[in-house]
Amino acid sequence: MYSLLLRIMVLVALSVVSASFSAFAAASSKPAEVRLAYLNGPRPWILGKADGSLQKALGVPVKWVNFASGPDALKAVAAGEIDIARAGSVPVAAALARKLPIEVIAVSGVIDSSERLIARKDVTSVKGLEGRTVTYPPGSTAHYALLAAFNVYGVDAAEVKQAPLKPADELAAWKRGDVDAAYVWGPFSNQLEAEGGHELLKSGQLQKDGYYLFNVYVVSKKFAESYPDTVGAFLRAFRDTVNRYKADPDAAAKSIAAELGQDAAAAKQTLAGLEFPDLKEQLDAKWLGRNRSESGISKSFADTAQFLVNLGELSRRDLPASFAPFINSAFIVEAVR
Amino acid sequence: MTVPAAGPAGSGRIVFDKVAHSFPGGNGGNATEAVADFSLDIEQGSFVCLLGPSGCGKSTILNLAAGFERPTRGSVSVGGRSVAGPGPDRGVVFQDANLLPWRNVLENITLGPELAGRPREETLAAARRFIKLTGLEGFERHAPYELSGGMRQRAALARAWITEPPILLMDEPFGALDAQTRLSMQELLMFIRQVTGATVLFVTHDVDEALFLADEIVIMTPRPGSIRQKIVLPFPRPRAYEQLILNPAFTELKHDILYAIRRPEYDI
Amino acid sequence: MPMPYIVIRNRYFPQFFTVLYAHRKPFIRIDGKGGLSMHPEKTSLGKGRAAAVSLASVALFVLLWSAGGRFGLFSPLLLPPPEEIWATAREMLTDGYRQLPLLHHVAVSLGRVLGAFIPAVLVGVPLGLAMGLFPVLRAIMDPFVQFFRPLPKLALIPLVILWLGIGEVSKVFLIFISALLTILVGCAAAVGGTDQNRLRLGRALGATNRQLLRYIVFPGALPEIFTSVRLAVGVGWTTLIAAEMVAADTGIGWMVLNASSYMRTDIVMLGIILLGLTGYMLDMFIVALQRVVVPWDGKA
Repeated sequence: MYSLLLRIMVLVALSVVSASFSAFAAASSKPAEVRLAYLNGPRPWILGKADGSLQKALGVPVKWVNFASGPDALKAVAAGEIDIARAGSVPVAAALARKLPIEVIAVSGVIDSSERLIARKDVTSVKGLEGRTVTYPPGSTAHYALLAAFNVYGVDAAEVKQAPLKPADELAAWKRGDVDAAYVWGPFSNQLEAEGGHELLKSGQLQKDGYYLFNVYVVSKKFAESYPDTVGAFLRAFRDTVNRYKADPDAAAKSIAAELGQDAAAAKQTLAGLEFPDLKEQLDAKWLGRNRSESGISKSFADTAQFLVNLGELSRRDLPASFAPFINSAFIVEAVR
Repeated sequence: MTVPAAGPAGSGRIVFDKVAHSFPGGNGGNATEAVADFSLDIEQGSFVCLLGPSGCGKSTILNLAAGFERPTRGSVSVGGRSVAGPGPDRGVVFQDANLLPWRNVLENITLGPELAGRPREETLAAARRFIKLTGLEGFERHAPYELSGGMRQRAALARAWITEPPILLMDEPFGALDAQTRLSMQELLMFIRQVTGATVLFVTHDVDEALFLADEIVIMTPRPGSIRQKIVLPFPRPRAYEQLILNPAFTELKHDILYAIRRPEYDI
Repeated sequence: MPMPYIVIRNRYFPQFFTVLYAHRKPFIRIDGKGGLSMHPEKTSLGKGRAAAVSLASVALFVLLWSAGGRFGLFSPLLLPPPEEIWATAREMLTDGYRQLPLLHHVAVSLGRVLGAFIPAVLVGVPLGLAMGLFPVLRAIMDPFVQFFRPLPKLALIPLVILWLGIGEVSKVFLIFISALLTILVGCAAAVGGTDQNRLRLGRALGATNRQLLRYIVFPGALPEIFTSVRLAVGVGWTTLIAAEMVAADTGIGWMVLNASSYMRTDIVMLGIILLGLTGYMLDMFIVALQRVVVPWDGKA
């Protein structure tokens, strides 16, 4: 009995010691590894994956994990498997409302023509979708944009047959003639055009009516608190990749497409359909703002969340008073200093 | 012999002529010879018990007569015709009652006539008769699983006998029953046979049972089984077990038979 | 030091000691040589008692779950406490989910599963029995059945969309194919497992091939047919989620998937509970049917 007690005491003592060691390790400035979630859309930061420059800039091993959609990536953040993720404003708005412990640290790109509504030749206007079938990836920025377009162009949503599908399956449904239109991002939108579709709308056209669609980087709160320097370094590395893209879009698109195993021309078109506000510009109140006060994107998140409540996807009791507390521009400040 | 003959004359005769039977070995191994050079002529209306050491091929002989197996060499004929397969001219009673659990007692008993397409009234009349003979009155609507082991074997007996086949083949039918139930089943068997008449080939490993039931006992050698000895029993019918065991010939024969069965193993 | 199980001396069988007991009397014994033996009468609790113990076990689980949430043992986002799920359920019972009543989603899913399951039984049972009866047919079918059966049905989605489109047919087909394969294998095995003595009995009573099938093989295979049908309902119900990945905007499977894109773990849990309860009720229905059709099953 005594030996057992002794053993337990030793075990407890050991675990206390090791816990304090790991606490000490956490206080040091660098994590053992940074886990990044990326999606299939061609984006400048993939340049940093292709040549390893992002890992070099961070100075620690980087693990790139691929996800089919933003919601999937955010679920992995919730599970503690991912530190930094890129996702669309719609899934992020839902995740913030659902109190996922994350912070929005930067806008990674604003969707202009990278997401588009493609329709068959005989559908000539958004209004003309009434009585037809439209497909979209559920819960995505494209889904939100489609419903926003219904509002803007006075389409009776009940008159449109909606078919939520994953992007790759949209193409199959299109080929069979089961759908008349699809709201989707590149390279899928380009493939639909190649199959006889034409563009009805691009997401950027909805901005004048207040519907901003964009991608952001989010970081898990725990990671942000433990390794603020690494998060800052990540944003600097991101800015470098954007600059490299802007300097030579053709070469960048080619190497991004190669890294993702996609068509270079489609990747180039998708990239050209995105706007990349400079990090300094993002400190403006139009984007993240310098302080944790109402800013452009916190307003956008609030609109998006309200939209999701009206849709029945979020519960009214989930809505926070403000999204401002979830937006943290301190890392941009650190990165541009 | 007071047993009336069932069926046309000669239809109850079973003849084994230099029969041999082997089973293919598993996984390409050597074939197992179960029976070799087995010749036996069973007269119409006689009650023959097959006795022998375990695994000597007693059941194989029965299966050959039933037509479940074909002999590798030699021939088996029933009623003068070579056996080509199982048929309703030979009733079979299995080791377990083998009642169909989805049919009640009456439906089990009438299965044979039903398969043969006999008229319903005729079948029911025959069933009533055999239900009475086997003492199953009141249990007609019971499911097999609601019966005791002895009752199930009574139903199996009635099922095999309802069409009054000239031959009854029985493979250790009472082996799983307790001693008293077994005895009353043996008495029942002899009683019904007295009434209907049939050739019976009865496989058992119980020497007392063979002595009580048989006209003739055939003792087999160890595998591959052939005939070691045939004993015609001197006991008159009707027999009473309590009286029979006091008969000095009973004890003597039991001694001889046990010796004949067990001796071969000692010789090895 | 506490033992992982309770050990007591058994005064009726001093050479045995008991390792487990359900209540009062031991039901599993371990003998001196390490062999296990069961107490013949104590392998099951009484019917009412078993139900009470099960109910108490569920109640205790919910209680611990609720307490865990209250004391912050786990994040309500990852595992919402039962109170939140209850609140969501009440909300959805009045408002529905995405403009449709909750029961409508349950009914749609049930309709898809039954719409696939009934044809699967109608096709699968005769075909499976035929496979069991005719070795040639079995040899023809087996490679396909064995190839497709373990295949995750998710992998078929792109093909099914290409072949059958995005309507109800695709969804029902995915469930149908999983249920059918399960039934085929089960029914073929059921025929193959026919007791040789029963076949001999039929032959000895003069049955023709057709009669053997009708009087011996088919009724004898019924318990196993039921077992495979029961398994197929389970498999069909599990395939529901995959089926409702195909352009669905109704159904519990879709509800779970859709809610998960918006991190609505409460709805996800509610959907899982509904899926479980409905599946359980389907299973109970088949078990009840089985008791009526094959009351003799398992009774010697």
